[in-house]
Amino acid sequence: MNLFGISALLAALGLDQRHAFQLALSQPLVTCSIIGFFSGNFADAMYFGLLIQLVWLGNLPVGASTTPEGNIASATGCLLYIEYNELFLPQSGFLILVIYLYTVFLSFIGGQLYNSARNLNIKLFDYAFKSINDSRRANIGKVIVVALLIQFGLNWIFIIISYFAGEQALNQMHNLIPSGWKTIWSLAEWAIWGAGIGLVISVYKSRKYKKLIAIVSILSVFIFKII
Amino acid sequence: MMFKLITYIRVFVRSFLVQSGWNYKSLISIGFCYSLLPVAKKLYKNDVVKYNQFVKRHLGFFNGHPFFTSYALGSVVRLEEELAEGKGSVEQIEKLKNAMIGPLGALGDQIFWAVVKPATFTAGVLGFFLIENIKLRLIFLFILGILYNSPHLYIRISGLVKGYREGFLICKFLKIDNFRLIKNSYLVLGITTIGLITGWIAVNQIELDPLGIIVFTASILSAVFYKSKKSKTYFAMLVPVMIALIFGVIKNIL
Repeated sequence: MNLFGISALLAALGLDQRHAFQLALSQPLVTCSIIGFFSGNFADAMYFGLLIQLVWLGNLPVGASTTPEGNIASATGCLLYIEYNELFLPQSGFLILVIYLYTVFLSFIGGQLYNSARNLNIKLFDYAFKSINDSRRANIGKVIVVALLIQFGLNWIFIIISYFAGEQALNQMHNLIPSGWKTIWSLAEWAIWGAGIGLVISVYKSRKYKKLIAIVSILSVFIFKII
Repeated sequence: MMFKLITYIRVFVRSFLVQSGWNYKSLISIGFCYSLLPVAKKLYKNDVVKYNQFVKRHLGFFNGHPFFTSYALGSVVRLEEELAEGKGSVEQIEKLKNAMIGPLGALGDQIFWAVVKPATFTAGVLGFFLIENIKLRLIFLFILGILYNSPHLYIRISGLVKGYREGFLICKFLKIDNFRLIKNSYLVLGITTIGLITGWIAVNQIELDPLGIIVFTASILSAVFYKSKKSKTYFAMLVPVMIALIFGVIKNIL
């Protein structure tokens, strides 16, 4: 499947995040596995999904809050990761670091884009209200379809533009990384794991739960050591 | 009876689009109204004025967690049917909707966004760690889907049914105590899996690079610290990477 096809599929799956169904199909573990299926590169795609999944679980889409739009950003990051993983192989730590930072940046842009869609929906709401006041039979179904199409279009354009921008940046960076700096980014992957775990722990507000997590962590170190 | 059932099924199916028209003016009201349209069509098929009054009523400000909104849908369907029979009043429907906004949001956020979702996907991450075979991982993904969507669909279906049965009295049911089983089960799952993931990574890290365990621990602590401060989400994501780079530079020099 070409980039336009896979990005259209990912844009549609992105609707699952907040707009339709909400069956958790837009979570990185799922979308990255789908990317792996279509690209034939299951191992790398799944690895990226696994690495990035925890980072977004700490963001609760409560009420009208604007949270990072991590799922679509992760899908774009995954597309770039499987594309460039072999090319950057001796410096894979650098690639992971750059794509992670880019994904976080995209999640911010995605959040703002989602806000724009919410503002656009006000116009749809006004249209629905106006049609009632004009004594016409209100066509709310049409409003819903248009709202979904707008969000799908925004998702699609967002994925394609951010993919091409990322591609350009990575092509430039590839020749610029000094080979002796390999150790500098060698720890980035562990920091991403740590950030993800920390963000998930923060969801459990009570100190009691945090203590329990610490106890399970310590116990599991011994369990895994024995295994 | 059959006609009624089909109408309710259509309301249920449409409830999956309840957040589609989310906007800053009326929040989820477009999707909420869209979900109720099969009822409007059933009650006021040949009366455009009453149909539009129905639509206008439900296009007004409304919010709630997308899954828990089913309770509001069920009870509103009941009250609208009573209104069409000349029993209830428009004020009663408005009162019910206003009274439900708070509990629907609070319950959904507490149960799904803060417990079920993190628990399911931390279990997913742990499963992916333990299962290396790609086919088995795909099967596991399917199981994860069931794990997440069982309580999700249960709330959507039971919300609609219970809301319809209870009508105005549904407000009394919307308390966290009535959802303790779901919340506590997933709480145990979430706490256990995030603890196991931490242990798993730590054990593997010690074998690969002992310095990594310092970065890993510091990253967890800094993420928890920054996330606990409101509006510092991006710091929680980026500070751990800065820590890794500082240690990386030190490692490179040494």
